[in-house]
Amino acid sequence: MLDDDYDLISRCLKREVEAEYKLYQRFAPRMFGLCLRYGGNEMEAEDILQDGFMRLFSHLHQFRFEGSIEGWIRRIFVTTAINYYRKNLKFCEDVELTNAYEDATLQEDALSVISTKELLALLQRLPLGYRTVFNLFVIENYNHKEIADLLGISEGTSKSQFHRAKSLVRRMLKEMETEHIIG
Amino acid sequence: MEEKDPIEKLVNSAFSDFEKGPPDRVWEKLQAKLHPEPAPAGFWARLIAFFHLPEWPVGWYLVLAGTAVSLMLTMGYFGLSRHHMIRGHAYAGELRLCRGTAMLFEVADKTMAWDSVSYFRSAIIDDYGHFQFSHVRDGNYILRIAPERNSEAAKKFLPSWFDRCEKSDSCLVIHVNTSDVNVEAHLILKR
Repeated sequence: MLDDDYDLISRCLKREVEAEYKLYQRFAPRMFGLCLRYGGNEMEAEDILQDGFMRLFSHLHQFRFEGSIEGWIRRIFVTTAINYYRKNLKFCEDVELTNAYEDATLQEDALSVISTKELLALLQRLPLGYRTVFNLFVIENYNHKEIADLLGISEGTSKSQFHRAKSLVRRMLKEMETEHIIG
Repeated sequence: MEEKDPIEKLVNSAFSDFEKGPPDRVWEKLQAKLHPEPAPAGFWARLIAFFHLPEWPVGWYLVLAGTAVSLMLTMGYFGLSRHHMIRGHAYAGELRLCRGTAMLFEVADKTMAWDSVSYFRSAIIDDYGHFQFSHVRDGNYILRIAPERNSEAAKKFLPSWFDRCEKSDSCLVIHVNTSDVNVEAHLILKR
C-alpha cells in the first residue's frame, strides 16, 4: 500500500471532490473495461460503472488499508455487476441453442486476427446469464461453486450456462472466421 | 495443470488488461449524485440556515435574546402593568349623540400646567353615542367630546370637556386607578 494511496483514500473519506476525481480517473478506465464485459452495451456499462463508483465511495470507510486497493475496487465492481445481473435477469430470454457448432474447430490463426473490440461486441451479444457466468469463470477466475453462491444458482446451472455461453461464443467466432475468410 | 480451452485463453488474454476511458458524462452524473445541489430553500429555511452558520453561532444567541426581550416587554405591557378601560356615552341634550369624536388627554399633575397635559388617544362616538378607550394606564385623564362636523348636533351644541365644560382647566379629571371607568359626557348647548 503506497503512501499516496493512503493519502488519496483519506481525502476521499473526507469527501474532497478533487481526491474523488483523482481516484475516479485512476480506476475508471480499467473498471469501465470490466463493466463493458458485463453490460449488454455501452449505456448499460456506464450504469454499472456509475453504480460501482457510488458503492465504492459509500463503502470506502470499510477498506482496511490491507492489500491492493485495485483488488478491493475490482471486487466491488464485480459485485455491482452481479447485482445488475440479479436486477435484470427477469427481463432476459433464454436462447435456443443448436449443437451445430458444438464440435466446430476454430483455427488458431483465425482467432489471433480477432480484435478485442470484436471480442467485446461478441461478449455483449451473449444473454445476460451466460455473459455473467462466462465473465466470472473465464476472466475473474471464480470456480462454479463460487459462481453458484454469488448468483444464487446451483452449481449445475452455472456449469450448463457456462458451456452454453462457450458454445455461443464458438458459434459466433466461427461466423466471424468465415466472414474474415470471405472478406 | 489443466490446459485452458483456446476460447477461454483468447478471452482471458484479451480482457485481462483491457481498459477504456468512460465518457465524461459518467463523472458528471456521479458528481451530481455524490454531492447533490441543495434544493432552493424558502425564507424560513434560509433564515435558519443563516443562523446555523458554524462561523457565526452568535446569531442564534442574538435571536434568542431578542425573542426573550420582546416577550418580556410584551408581558410587561399587557400583563404586569395595570390597564383599564374608559367607556361611556356622549349626550347632546336629552338624546345620545349620533356620531362624533372623543379625545382623551393624559394629565401629569393636578395643577394641569399647559405642558402637563398630553394627547393620549381618540375614539369614535358611534351612532348610539357610545365610545371606549381600552388599555388605559393608571393615571389622570381629561376627556373632550365633539359632534360630527356639519351634523344636526354640531349646529346646536359645542365641543365640550367632561363634563359640560368649555375649557380644559376647569373640567372634571377622570382618575383611572383600580378599575374600568364609565362616564356620561354631555355637550354644551350653544347660546
